[in-house]
Amino acid sequence: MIEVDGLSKRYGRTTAVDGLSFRVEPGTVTGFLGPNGAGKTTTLRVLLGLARPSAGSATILGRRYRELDEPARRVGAVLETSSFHPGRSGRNHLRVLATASGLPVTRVDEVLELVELTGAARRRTGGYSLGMRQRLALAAALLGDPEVLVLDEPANGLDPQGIRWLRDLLRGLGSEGRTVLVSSHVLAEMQQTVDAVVIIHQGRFVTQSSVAEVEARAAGGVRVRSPGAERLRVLLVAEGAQVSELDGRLQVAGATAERVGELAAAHGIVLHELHAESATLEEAFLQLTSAEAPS
Amino acid sequence: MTRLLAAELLKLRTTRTALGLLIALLGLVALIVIGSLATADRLELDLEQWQDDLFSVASLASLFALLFGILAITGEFRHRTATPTFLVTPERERVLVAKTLASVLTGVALGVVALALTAVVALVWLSSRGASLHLGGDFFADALWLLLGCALYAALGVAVGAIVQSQVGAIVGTLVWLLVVESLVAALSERVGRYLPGQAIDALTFQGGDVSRTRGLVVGLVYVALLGAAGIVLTRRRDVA
Repeated sequence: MIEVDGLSKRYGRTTAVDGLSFRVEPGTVTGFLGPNGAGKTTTLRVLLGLARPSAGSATILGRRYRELDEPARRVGAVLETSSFHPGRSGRNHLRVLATASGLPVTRVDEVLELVELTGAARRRTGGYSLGMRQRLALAAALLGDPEVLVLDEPANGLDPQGIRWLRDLLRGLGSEGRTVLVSSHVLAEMQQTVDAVVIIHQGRFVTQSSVAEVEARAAGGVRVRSPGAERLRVLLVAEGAQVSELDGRLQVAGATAERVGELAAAHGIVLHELHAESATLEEAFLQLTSAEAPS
Repeated sequence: MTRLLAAELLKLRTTRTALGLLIALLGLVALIVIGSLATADRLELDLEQWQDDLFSVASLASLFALLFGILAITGEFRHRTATPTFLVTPERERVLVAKTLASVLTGVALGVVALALTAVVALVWLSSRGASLHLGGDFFADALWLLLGCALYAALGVAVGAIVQSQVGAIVGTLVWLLVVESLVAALSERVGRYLPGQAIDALTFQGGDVSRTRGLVVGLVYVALLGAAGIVLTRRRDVA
């Protein structure tokens, strides 16, 4: 569906993207994550035919973007937020794009309704807030009712309410079977929205997996201190958890704190300490990207 | 291409840039025409030659056509609308061709409007002085050449804008080229000067002879073709910022 293969992009001596490869399967909402400057925007611009790769390739629906027939009807994209003429109204901006891609004007009003921008549609974009620009950019991406959406930091500038709205919209688009690749450097925005993540750092691939997997992998797990540590260890291993000993405590991966507590209670094992090292995507991300820092 | 041309024409109707240029042009033409009429003496007014010269004021439209062409393309880079434009139409050369066509149409329209305003003002003024407007056969030929000049300048503007990309850079660069460099070269050697783009196209709009006009047209078209090709090659190759 979306395939990035050995992609590199250099600007002079700076390498923005360095041999990046990953695949996004159809019908998934995938978070494209990395700290600022990781190369996310550059990757997406190459994917969308706006920049030339220095090496490697990036394809959508099996083709390079420039070779797609009627690209606006197949791929929708949100790139930087301020791509509007300040003197043109939001509606006219969309009319221009609809005209160029042969879409009816009725579609313009539909997408304006969809992003809840109808009220401001006839005002000049120069007076729009950042959130309104993001909505207009999303409207432009949705004009051609595309099966693939590529969104670069669409949550930027949205207030908490706007972010919730965006989440619902993205989940809705995903549940319609569309393929969505959405970049962000703020993980909390993405955690409840995406099925899978691709994480990059300093232009290089770090990992790709489901959100749950990343959380589990980076999780510190559960820490237990107990006089009956040996019995508990046997029980936990029998449950399929990995257990190691650390400073006289058990370090448990692959079992929740609740499960450890239940097991201990069921077998009458005294616990002196039970601590779940909570793993948000944020922590997982920080851990993964800092591990990849240059040596 | 019809779709793209329609989109380009819609672009220019949905901002105030084209309207602003039109108003500025009309104001300037009206000012100069009224000034000329007011300062001419009564005997001159009735002369066909004098009246023909009066209409050369409308050639100001060619400069505005050039400016419009530059603004049409550099505005896309300045406001970063090049990104959505090239996302919808990744074949960037088609965008440039459509933009050139739209700018040529606009340039010609500016020429027509400038000529019409000159005619209306002159007609009113002359009839109030008991003189009449003589629009001989020359007038219509002159007008057509002038419109051709507007078309060439508009196309040249798009080509230069596509090469330079920076709006200020393209406008300042073009004005310095036309007003300083070309004037200097033309003053030093007229033979060389007439092969420069501005001098060549100006031969169409200011009353030149048929020989200089035909040569101007050919030279102008060559420049449009060369700079247009350079603009297409560069626009295709460059990353869209």
